[in-house]
Formats: sequence, C-alpha cells, structure tokens
Amino acid sequence: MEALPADHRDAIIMWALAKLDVVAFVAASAAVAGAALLMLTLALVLKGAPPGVPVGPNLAELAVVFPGYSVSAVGALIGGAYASVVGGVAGFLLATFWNVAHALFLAVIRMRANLASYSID
Amino acid sequence: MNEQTERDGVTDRDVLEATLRFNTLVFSIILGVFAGAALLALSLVAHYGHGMGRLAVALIGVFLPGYGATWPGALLGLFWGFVFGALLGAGIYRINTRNVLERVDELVIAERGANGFARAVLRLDGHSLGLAMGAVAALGLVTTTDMLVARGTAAESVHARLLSEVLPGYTVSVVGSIIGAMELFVVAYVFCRGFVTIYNWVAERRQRR
Repeated sequence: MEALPADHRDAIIMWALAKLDVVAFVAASAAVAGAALLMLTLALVLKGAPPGVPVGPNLAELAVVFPGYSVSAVGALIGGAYASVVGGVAGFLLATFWNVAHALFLAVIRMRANLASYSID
Repeated sequence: MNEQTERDGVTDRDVLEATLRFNTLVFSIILGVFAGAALLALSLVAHYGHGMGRLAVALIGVFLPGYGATWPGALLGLFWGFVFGALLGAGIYRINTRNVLERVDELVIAERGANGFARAVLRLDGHSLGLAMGAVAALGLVTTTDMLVARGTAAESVHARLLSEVLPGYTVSVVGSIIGAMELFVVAYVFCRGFVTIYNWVAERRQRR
C-alpha cells in the first residue's frame, strides 16, 4: 500500500477517481444477497402456517427460477446459494461498470493532456 | 480539514462538487441501466414464460403507466426503469457522500498502479451507505403504499399486504406504511453495514498483500 497524498486536494481527486475492488464487491454482494434470502425464508419457516396451509406460497414461486428451492430449512440454504450467485453477478457488473467508466474518464483526461502538450511549432 | 483552502481561486469544496457531479452521473446511469434492463427482462419473461412473472409485472404496472407483459410494455419498462433507477442512484450517491470532504482520507486505499502512477481503491462508509439505502427504501415504501391508498385500491392490494409477513405492523394504509418504512430502514441499514464491513475487510486484505 502507498501512503496517501498529503495534499487534501489530491486526496479528493484520488477518492473521486478511485476504483472499486471487484473481488471485494463481489464477495460482499454475494454474502448479503445470500443472507437476505436465507433469512427471509427461515423467517417464514419459523413463523409457520396453520395446518393444511402451505408456508410462504408466494416466495415458493422462486422455485421456477431457482430449481430445488422451497420454503423450508433446506430450501433456505439452496435459495441462499442461488441468491449469492445472482448477487455476486450483479456486484461484478456494477463494480466493473464503475471502474470502466472511471478508466475511460482518466484515459480521456490523459489524452487531452498529451494533446495539449504538443506544439505544431 | 479547512474546506475553504484555496488554490488558483478554487476551494476544496468546488473540486469535490465537480467530482461528485461526475460520479453521481456515472452511478445514476449504472443504476438506471440495471433497473431498465431488469424491468425489460421481467416483462419479456412474463410474455414468453407461460405466466411466470406476470404477477410481478402486474404489480409494478400499477405504478409505472404502460408497463406490462407485451413488447411495447417491456420497452416502456426499460424507459421507466432507467428514469427511476437513475433518480434513485443520484439520491443514494448524494446522501452517501454528504460528509465526504471531512473524511476523504479514510475513504481511499492508495496503491501503486501501472507506470508508477498512484491509483486508489475505494473504501466505503457503512453508516453513510446505510442511511442512504435505508432512506431511499423507506421513502419508496411510503410513496408506493400511499399511492395505493390514494387510488382507493388499498383494500384490494392483497400482494402488497404480503409485506406484513416480513415487516410486522405494515398495512396498506398511511400509518402502516410509516411503520413498515421504519422497519425497512433498519433492515436496509443493517444489511448495508454488513455489506460494507465485508467489502472493506476484503479490499484491505487484498491491498496489504
């Protein structure tokens, strides 16, 4: 790791053009998305339903896109795993788009600076 | 840090505002594209998927005029998704960065990039992100619920009422929307704190290597 610039102005610009750590962003997105569906499913399982009434019939429709998912303890783990993958992909796309936009912006600045330094004379 | 520090007649606040405008635009476009693409995909799935996703499309269509499980409806969803996604993105980014000038040194990890140029990796602030996401989520729930109440269809909103299964006390009413919004704020805040803790921990460990 490098020391941060002593100049506050430079620190602001560095922060503004900083990239996201894609691996860290994917890990965090996957963990949070997986935990969200896991906890949501377990909450419905713990809450339960009257005899003869299915538990969480609306959430159970996720099985259409997440094969094997159900509103049960095992289903919560399966759903959590699927949600982690979806969250990870979304996190990867978001972090990548952010980094690409800033890399393009930096490239344009560098190109303009280079062009400005040339002289026809 | 004195935000009035001047160099060439420009204060640190001016520099920050200029950079915030650019980053707000970038984040808005990303979230707009995500939201638009998600609504487009959901509509097309509902159109071609033998009923799958139709319920969600119908629910969203209550709030987004013209949105439905048809090609024109999907294209309108792309438009509405982009508009609302961009607005939400701008709101989230602005709330998230409202105190950044005082804490900017804590929010970057500097690394040596290609050609010896220093390039920073962003650190996130869990409290700010939690407040931003929580505020936007809570405001969204109040707005959508109160729209249902104002339309006079609150009693028929069976699916909106399902939220009470995860947000105790929520009902499709003005009071219920405020109770639900407070709970949703807390949930969003906690998840954001968790997200940021994991992100910063992994990012710092990777930079230390």
